[in-house]
Amino acid sequence: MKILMCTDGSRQASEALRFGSLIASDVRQQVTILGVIEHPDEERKVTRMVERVSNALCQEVPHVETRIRHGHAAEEILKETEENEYDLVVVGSRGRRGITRFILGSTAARLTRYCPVSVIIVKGKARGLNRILVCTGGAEAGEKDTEMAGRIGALTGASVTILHVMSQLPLSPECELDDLACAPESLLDTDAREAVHLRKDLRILENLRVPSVAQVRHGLVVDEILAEAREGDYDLIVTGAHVASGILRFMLTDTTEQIVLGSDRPVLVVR
Amino acid sequence: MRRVNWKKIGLAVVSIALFVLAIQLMKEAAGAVAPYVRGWLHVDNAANSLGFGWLSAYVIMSGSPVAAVALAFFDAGTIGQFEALTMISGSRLGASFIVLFIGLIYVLRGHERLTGLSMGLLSFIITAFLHVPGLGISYVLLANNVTDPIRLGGGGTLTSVLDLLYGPIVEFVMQNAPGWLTFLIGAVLVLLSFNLIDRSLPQLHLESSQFSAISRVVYRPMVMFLMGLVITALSMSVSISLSLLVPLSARGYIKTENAIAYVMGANVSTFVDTLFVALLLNNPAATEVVLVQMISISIVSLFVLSLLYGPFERLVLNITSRTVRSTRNLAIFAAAILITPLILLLV
Repeated sequence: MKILMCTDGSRQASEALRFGSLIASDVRQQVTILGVIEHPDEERKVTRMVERVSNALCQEVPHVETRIRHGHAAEEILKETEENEYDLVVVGSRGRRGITRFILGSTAARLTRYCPVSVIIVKGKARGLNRILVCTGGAEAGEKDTEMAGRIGALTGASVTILHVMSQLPLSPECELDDLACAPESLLDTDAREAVHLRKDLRILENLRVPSVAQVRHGLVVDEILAEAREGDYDLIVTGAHVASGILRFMLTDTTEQIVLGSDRPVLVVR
Repeated sequence: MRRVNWKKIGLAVVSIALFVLAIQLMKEAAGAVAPYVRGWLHVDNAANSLGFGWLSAYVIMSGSPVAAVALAFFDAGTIGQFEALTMISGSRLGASFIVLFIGLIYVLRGHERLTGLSMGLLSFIITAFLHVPGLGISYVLLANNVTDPIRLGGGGTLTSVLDLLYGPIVEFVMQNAPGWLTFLIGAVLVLLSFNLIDRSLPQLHLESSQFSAISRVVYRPMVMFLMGLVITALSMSVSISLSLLVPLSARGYIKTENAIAYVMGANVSTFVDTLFVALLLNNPAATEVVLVQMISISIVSLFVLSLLYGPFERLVLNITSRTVRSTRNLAIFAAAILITPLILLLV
């Protein structure tokens, strides 16, 4: 796994480097630390941060490379991922919201949308990596997310929970929606589409020898994912990227961006 | 190639003809029932006309005929513009109760409370949340004559054609029956024609395979709002519009996030048949009342969709889940939606 860890010298970027190090320290491949200097007066701060993290990682990871770029953080990170091959990008999020985010844009939001590889948006304090929450929509696309979470789990020893949120609504009183209130155990015993995928996901993790469980919640998708992350005290939320293109991009809600915006902990967006 | 269903086309033509006749009868006879409406039922202000419209829709289990009656009363001068406005809103509230009522029957037959009542509750709560501020906006728009430019009439040609086609029948009924009976015949014909229109419309069903993509995704609220608006306008019926989604609701093909915005859209275009009535009455002020309601509900919906959709979704779902949580809560809710229109009627 080739990891690109990014910093713009901010406090949240140092949290991102700390979180990235949790994964990178177990990776036996290449780690690149990219410092992006947005303003000339930040040069010293960014360079020092890159050097410090590089020195710390060098003791555990055989191939650590450092790079410095000048310009807008999101644009420079995107250029770096286009020019070189990476499996995972790790960045921090300053958590701009409302009007600030509207005016300045968000590096995290841009990367969530346009980064060609999987990206971890580190929000809040990077505490450790013991529990991973994978959000699956109950379809083939979700298996990629599970695989990625499994690989990270296998590297770090973290356990993985596969979460599916049932948000269907009985539009007619005649609807037989027994699974509207069902627990994961009873759902897994059925032939329902979601159950088939949950079982598949659990098998993927079993093959990677990662301790795993399935979880089912009922309600609004984004709200339930964030509630589960909080209540289960997870260290990382894993979700698929918003893949809609063309007219569908305008028609579909970007739940991934909503999760990234609403979360108070790191989120891995899988591509 | 699909075969043309001439039986349904014939039924549609008959039902529309009946509907137009019913409106003509009510238009001519509405003045005769004014003493009963004002004297017996005391429908003489905005609050009690709201209660009257609301309860009437409960009684006949349909909202559109009540809205048509409201416009006929307004056309005859039996009620004023604001009374017509609130009576039509009341008819929408009463109509949204019908889905809930059907759900209650299913629950009494032993169905799960959650599955039986969710959609009815959701539909009623959304309608109430849109119509209460919507009424306020409508009042401001009408009171300040902001919407005078949108006063539309059916036109002289339409009136001449209707007089030519229906004049002799209306005259015959008026000469042989008292005014109140003519109005009653008109009201019954409206009810019957709506029933026939519902039957004449094609059964709209989407197979899950046709919409497999939406099983995994959530549409933007604005997209679902527009879908609800367009499909309800075309089908002229909220219940038919919602029935289109029923096969998709099983196993997550329609998510709660999608359904709420869809119902909001349906609440705007559910006035299409009432607008048609206003045009048939050839009364520009009546058309204005209906258009103002459509505009007001659209304003409230767009405000919610663009700024408050998340909290709105949570609020609606919270009320729904609290209501179905216990029999006591459900009884309180049922009592509230029965007592409120009664109290309003007594104001």
